[in-house]
Amino acid sequence: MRAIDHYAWSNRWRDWHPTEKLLPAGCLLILTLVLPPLSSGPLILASMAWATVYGAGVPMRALLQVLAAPAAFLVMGAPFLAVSISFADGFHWQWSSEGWWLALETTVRALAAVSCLAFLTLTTPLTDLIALSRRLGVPAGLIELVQLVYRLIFVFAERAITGQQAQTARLGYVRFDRGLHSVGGLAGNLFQRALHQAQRMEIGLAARGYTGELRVLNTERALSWPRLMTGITWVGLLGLSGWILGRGGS
Amino acid sequence: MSGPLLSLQRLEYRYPDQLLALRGLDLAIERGRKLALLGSNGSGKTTLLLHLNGTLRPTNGMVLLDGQPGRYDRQGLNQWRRRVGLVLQEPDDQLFAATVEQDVSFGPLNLGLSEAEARFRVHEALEALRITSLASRATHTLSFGQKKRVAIAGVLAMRPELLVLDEPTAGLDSHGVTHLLGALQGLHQAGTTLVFFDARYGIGL
Ligand SMILES: Nc1ncnc2c1ncn2[C@@H]1O[C@H](COP(=O)(O)OP(=O)(O)OP(=O)(O)O)[C@@H](O)[C@H]1O
Ligand SMILES: [Mg+2]
Repeated sequence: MRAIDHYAWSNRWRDWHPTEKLLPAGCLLILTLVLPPLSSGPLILASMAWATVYGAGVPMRALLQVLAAPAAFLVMGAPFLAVSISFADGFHWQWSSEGWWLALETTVRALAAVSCLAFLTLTTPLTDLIALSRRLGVPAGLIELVQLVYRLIFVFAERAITGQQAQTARLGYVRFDRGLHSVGGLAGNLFQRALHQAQRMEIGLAARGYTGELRVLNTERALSWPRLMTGITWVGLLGLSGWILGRGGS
Repeated sequence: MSGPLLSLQRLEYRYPDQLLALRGLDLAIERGRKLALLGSNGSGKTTLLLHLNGTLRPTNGMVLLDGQPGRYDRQGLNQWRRRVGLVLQEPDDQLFAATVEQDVSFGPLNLGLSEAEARFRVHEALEALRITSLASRATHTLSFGQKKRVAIAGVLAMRPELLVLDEPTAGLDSHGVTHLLGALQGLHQAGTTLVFFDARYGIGL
């Protein structure tokens, strides 16, 4: 979470208008769902990885970290698609070749889709996405909620980390049972603090004239048409080649 | 418009759990003054401060604004808080937006200013605290001292007549303290009345 956020704020493409990133990534995400995955999936995965690492300058390691969790999930889940089970007479299961293809296709498709999201989260600060959704007409209440949660996550993460360090310093984690005890204490403490934090933040915001609306100025980013067109052209080319390759294959 | 900007008369405050935090307090804050209130931990500084913009309502006694009893209805509080800016002890209690610029713009927009005017106020406040370089930084990546200055800028951008700060120098290094006191000095010379609370003696203004 912290690492993702760090790169979102510091990559080379940070100051691009969010549309320039969201539109191509969004289109590619849709393409992963509609095109035959075995031909288009690797293309999309590769180009998103390329854009993230060589374009925006996010280290490969960070990208792999983001992809690792969904990938592990897929690797564990996919084999079940490759097995066919029948209850016709008793319980039978067998590997099916159709199932193998399905498992492979699903994995590739999901990885390609996740790479689009990874690109977006690693290159675009949440504030940009929030500003964009506001302009697209997402209700203000929802946006304010996301905004507050985003801020508070870090306030609490910081406290959780320092709390755990303090417990560790007092040997709170020397044994497994003490560890459980310590985690329980920490969680209870954090919850209490969350309630207090909310109360005090209300005071702090009221002092600045809060009357029920969290309105702030958004940094204006200039939309670059050349960059946007480049992105869209690239999406078009990928879509076309994915489609042609897919037809040739079948 | 003579007489104190804000005054407290025989102020008493009892927390809901019956703890008597303030008793028989009289204080007059004259226009254009610079006032430091010192007290040890738990002496009631924060409790007193929260009375100065109507956040807490005294159990007994009165808070007077320009000689008039403070009004605790919604509109009265709104007016009150336009004039009296409060900077809390803990910057994380005040900063809610993702970037510095966004956060500082919150107060000015609440005043009903236009976006252009708000942008100007943000710039002005960041300048006064010498943190223009932080403008587009993410709030959660700032150090404690930086957060503290951003929190002050957020209140400053509303150009309050009276600026009240709860332990503004706590947690700052000596360089940070010098900077901050310099900035406050500048505000005071520009006509802002200042009240600040501190737990340590010898903080000179
Ligand atoms: N929400 C509350 N409920 C009950 N008692 C409280 C509450 N807040 C503060 N108190 C008590 O009121 C007294 C004054 O507290 P206050 O926070 O005003 O002190 P302070 O001078 O600001 O201290 P510090 O220097 O530690 O910030 C303390 O005894 C404190 O325990
Ligand atoms: Mg206090």
